[in-house]
Amino acid sequence: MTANNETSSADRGIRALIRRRSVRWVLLGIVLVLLAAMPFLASDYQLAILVSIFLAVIGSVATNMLIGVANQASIGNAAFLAIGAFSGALVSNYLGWNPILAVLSGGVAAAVIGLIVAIPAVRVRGLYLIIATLALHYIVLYLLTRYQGSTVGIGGFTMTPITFPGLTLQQGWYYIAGVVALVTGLVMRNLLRSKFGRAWFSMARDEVASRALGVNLFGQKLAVFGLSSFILGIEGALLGYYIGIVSSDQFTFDLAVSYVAMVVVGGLGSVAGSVLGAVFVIGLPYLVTWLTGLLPAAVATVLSTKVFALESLLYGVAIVAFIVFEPRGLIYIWRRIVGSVARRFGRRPVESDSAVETTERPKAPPVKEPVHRLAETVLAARDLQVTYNRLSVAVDGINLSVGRREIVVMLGANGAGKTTTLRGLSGFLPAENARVSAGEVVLEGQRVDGKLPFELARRGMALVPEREKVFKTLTVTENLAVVPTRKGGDRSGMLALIDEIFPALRELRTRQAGYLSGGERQMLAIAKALVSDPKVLLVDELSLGIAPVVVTRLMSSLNDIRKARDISILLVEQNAPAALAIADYAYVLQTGEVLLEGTGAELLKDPEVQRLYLGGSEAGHYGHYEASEDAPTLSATTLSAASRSARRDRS
Amino acid sequence: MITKHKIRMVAAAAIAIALAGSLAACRGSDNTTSTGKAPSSYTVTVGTDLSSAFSSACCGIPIANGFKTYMDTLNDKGGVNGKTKVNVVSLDDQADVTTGLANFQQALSSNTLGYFLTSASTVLTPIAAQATKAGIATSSIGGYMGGVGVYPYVYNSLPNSASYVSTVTKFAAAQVSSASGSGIDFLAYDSTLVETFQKDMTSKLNSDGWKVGYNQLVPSSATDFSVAAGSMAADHPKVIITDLLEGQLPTFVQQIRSHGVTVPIVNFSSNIDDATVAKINDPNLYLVEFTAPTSDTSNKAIATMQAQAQKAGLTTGDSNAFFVTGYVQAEIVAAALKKCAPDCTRKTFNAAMNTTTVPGNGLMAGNPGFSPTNHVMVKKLIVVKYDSSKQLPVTVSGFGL
Amino acid sequence: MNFAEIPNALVSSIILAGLYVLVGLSWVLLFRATQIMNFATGQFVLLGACLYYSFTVSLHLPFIVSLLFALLIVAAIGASIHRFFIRRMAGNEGFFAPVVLTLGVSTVLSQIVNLSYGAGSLAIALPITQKNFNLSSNIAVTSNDLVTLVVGVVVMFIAQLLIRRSRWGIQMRAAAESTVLASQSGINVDRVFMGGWAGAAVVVAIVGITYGASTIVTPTLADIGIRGLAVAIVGGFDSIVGLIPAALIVALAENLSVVFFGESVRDAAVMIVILIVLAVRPQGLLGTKAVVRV
Repeated sequence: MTANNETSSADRGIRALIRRRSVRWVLLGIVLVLLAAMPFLASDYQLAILVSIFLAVIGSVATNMLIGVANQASIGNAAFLAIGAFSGALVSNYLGWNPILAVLSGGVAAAVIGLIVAIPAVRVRGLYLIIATLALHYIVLYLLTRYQGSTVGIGGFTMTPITFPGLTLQQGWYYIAGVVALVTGLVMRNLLRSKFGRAWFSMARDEVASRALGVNLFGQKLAVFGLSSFILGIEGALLGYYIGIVSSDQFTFDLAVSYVAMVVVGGLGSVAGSVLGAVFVIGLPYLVTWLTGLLPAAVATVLSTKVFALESLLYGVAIVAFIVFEPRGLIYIWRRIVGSVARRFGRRPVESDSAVETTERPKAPPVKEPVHRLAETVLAARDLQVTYNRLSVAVDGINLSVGRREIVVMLGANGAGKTTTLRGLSGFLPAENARVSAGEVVLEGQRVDGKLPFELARRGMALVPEREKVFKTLTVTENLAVVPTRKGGDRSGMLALIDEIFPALRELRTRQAGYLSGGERQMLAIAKALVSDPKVLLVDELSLGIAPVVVTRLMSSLNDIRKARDISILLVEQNAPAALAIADYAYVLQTGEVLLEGTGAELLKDPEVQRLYLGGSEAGHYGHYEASEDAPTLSATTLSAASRSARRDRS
Repeated sequence: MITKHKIRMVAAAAIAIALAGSLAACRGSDNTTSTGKAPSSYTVTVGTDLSSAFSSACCGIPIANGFKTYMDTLNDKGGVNGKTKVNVVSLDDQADVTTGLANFQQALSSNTLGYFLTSASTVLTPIAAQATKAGIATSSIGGYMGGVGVYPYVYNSLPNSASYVSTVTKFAAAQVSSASGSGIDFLAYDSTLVETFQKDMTSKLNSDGWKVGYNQLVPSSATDFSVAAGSMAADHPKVIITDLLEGQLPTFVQQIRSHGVTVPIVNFSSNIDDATVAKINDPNLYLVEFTAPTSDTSNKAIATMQAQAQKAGLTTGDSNAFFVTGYVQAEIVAAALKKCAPDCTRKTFNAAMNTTTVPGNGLMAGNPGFSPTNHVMVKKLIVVKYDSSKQLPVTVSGFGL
Repeated sequence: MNFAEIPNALVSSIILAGLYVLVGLSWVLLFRATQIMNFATGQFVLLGACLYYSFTVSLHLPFIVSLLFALLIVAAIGASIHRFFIRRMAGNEGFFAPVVLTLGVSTVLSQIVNLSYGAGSLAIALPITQKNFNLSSNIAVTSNDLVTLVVGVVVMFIAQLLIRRSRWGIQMRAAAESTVLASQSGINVDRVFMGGWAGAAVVVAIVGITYGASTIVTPTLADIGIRGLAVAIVGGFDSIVGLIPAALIVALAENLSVVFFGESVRDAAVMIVILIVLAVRPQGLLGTKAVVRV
């Protein structure tokens, strides 16, 4: 998705290395001359490897366009190669077309099938597209095998060899495959920078959004499928000529997987990545052969009967290793090398996203002396900073604490960072791409930041999230049963308590949570959080989508709970009046920082809070505040204006 | 973070160096002709064909291992004439044709005398075409490729289609009083190779006067043969001919027998392990093979071969019929090298290959080898059935070694 | 065309469905737990059979012990795929990365089997006596068929019971619905996912043992894995109950197409069934939602 940016950053790296234009042209010239002269420098064996690589590059680029750029996960590559090869064989054998026309016909035939596949692909996405193309592979190969079996049999279709006057077969093919690969790569590179490329990238990111931006999804999918299968068809027909015969058993599912492997290993969405991937996947067996040749004779003898299995094993291991440890592929590694070379030579370093990772953020300001409160601290955040996607800092320098049996309220506009703060306190999963990047979270005297959510839950931190708060496909009973009890917690006592404060839930035991009303769902969410007998209960948007009467009842229930069960509560709430009324202490957040804090009573009286949350003089009516999803929200701009004035007042 | 990057950098550098090195190392020496002096070793290349796909997983490795095992044993004794070692270069094409072609280029541009391809895949034809120009001896198990124009230059290590057809039909005729008018059913696994074969077989059967009934190709992934078994039961054939894979044969035999059909079944896919034959344990199942049963260690040649295989770290299961093929092929290559020694060139080696035969020694029927007009190594097929009292597959008299 | 074979085809389809339903169960179990399609499913079939061979034939252990050991090891291998690979994936690669990962795993596993067990075939057996039961003149059932059917039914029943009633099952359903909420609720989702992998692996390892015992163990045993994908697609990828009609449909499509068009169409018929389901009812027979994760 960021391939465009990355390409340009790599370009900048190379430019940094080779600053002067003239030097650049000379270097480019040398590379081109070397490439052109290669057939006369290298052995036929080396040339044959290079031809294999060039041919693979063609398909790898086409596959990457479909999978990496447009996010259309297809595994039908080998089928398209086969269609191209067979079409080329048929028109050259039966119609006597010349090789150029035959190769083009291979492309056209594959493109036609590709377009037919694209029509359902508009509906079918994701994993289903993989399966559909997998089925396509087997059906196409079945039909071709049947056809071949009933005509020419195992021998396959013999292609009239292309001869090269004055050149050996490998030298000639080096130029053909090299030029086609180069042209394919350049066309793709330019295409990705055109409006087509932008449309495909945006389609890959978000189909709905790209449709809103005016991308014709149907047309673009047809275009990307048609073009990529056209290129694969060309490669298939070329393969047929290069190999000399066309036979269906050349186009195995393994072949299809190897092209996908090239794309994944090389780097999704990048033309240069496709090239690197092809070099890696095609070059690996030769590398292993060479390496085993270097081994001492004794070791080689032991290995000799196993070496081929090991070779295949290594290929599998490489795929797994790249996916797990470097999903950005070889192209990313390559760019890092280029970048570090550029730095070594004292040039401007490459700007890449990695720079952000290593950059230390400026040190947070010294910790403010926590406001002295009577209650012993159960949960505290010190200079909490949460970063999403390695890059965007969502909240920064949050300091807050929750005392034993306290109800602490967090207020703030949409986007102020309340939910992020709660999530930072309760932990992230690795897959969420978010982390506590600075500061610490302390639960009952122990640092817990960086722990997984379930570990925190088992230590007594229970969260009622804002949106996904109950398991909709589970019944009410199952929703409660699924939650493990905190170590040393009193489950039966909590169940009794839940029965007591939420008697309505008892009637709904066998109902699926998806069929509950908003209020019932919220009750269940709180019950679900309570059943583990937590030490701290974090509730995000208690009043969201719930009738005011219910909110009032829930608030009072919470008040009862903490008294009855020694539970501290941290409440994020938009319904400020209702929350502040029961709060022992409260924080007001704004754009990721704590703006104001104080006891509930203090903040209720605070003119800023009054103005922002309590509607000025109408503050008295807060008890009947209409709580709905959009009612009490403030725009970020009003709030920040307010905060500026608040700061001015204080200083 | 920084250490992680360092690791990535080191890994990246290692890959880059290795790739660069591999290209640099691929440069083979270009001395295609040898001088008058006796070389310290001869180089022969074995191209194997391995992929996780079935079609080639069956044969490539065992053949290469058989070839290598024989040559290793020979080298341990000092090599050809006790003087010149045989350097076996093994190259793997991963069932990919372009890789096969590149591997062959290496054989061409190095001082390799002969290129012995183990695969049945279609990689053979283009390689053979190029090999012929370079005067390099090639071989393959592609015995069915008689019709593609390169046959005279390729030494086939497997019997050809005609041998199979004649042996199978002869054996089938021996099972009935009169072939004429008798019903015969045919079931084989589906591939272009077998489909070609099916045609040859059917036309021969028809011309012999058989009435060919159920005649089908079944995908190699098929697990259920009950429809075929039912149809055959309704056909009342006198003999059933199959070319089923290792994993299919037990199920098929069980299902056909459960339908009350007791007639002889002749399977000719030639890679049925002795363990499988023992498991099926059917008195009327016959297997057409080109090698002696490899678990019968009362056969001295087999016992010797198994001992050598064990020394190379292989199990009995590894040394199957294809292993024997590679082993015997190496024996022929060694004999040819002996003929053209001390200074074999591609030309003299090729000429020697053309006239070399070795005694079957109980590994194969007849004397395997080549003549200028016949490039099929295995001249005679044998028929094997399971002897439950000996718990061994044994050869059937009249169709034995 | 041989219409007289239709009754025979129907009966054999029921037995074949007993085999297919479990392979499909493996795909569905893993998908329900982790939203991953495991293209290495076939390799677990092979692995189960090979390990069972090691314990019964090489080590001469009794049936039950061998069975348990084989299943235990396969479960551990399955779970470690999550533990060491899936869990370490950053999570932003989308749905495609796990597919390629399992394809890589399938290569690795088949080569490990290749290295450990060689090229030969392995004969395994269950402790039952072989018997044939003739239902009519041209319909016959073997004792292996009955074992396949019984094992299919029993394993399906156990799986359904586990998912509906057991604590792990409820946790699995919760984690499948929302991983984040599950973890926030105190569920160790990694352990649940590892359980999903282990369960999926065990189910096909059982297939490997019963099916391998009825034929012979060679690398082609793994080919049955892809049939399970067809069954799962037809039934709906998130439905266990849907597997039963789906397995019957796939088996019938196979055997009836053989009756009408000959043996060679088996594979193609299954693929066509997949395409029809994708086009007409992408969520499958009893699935609740189309499996689309973009």
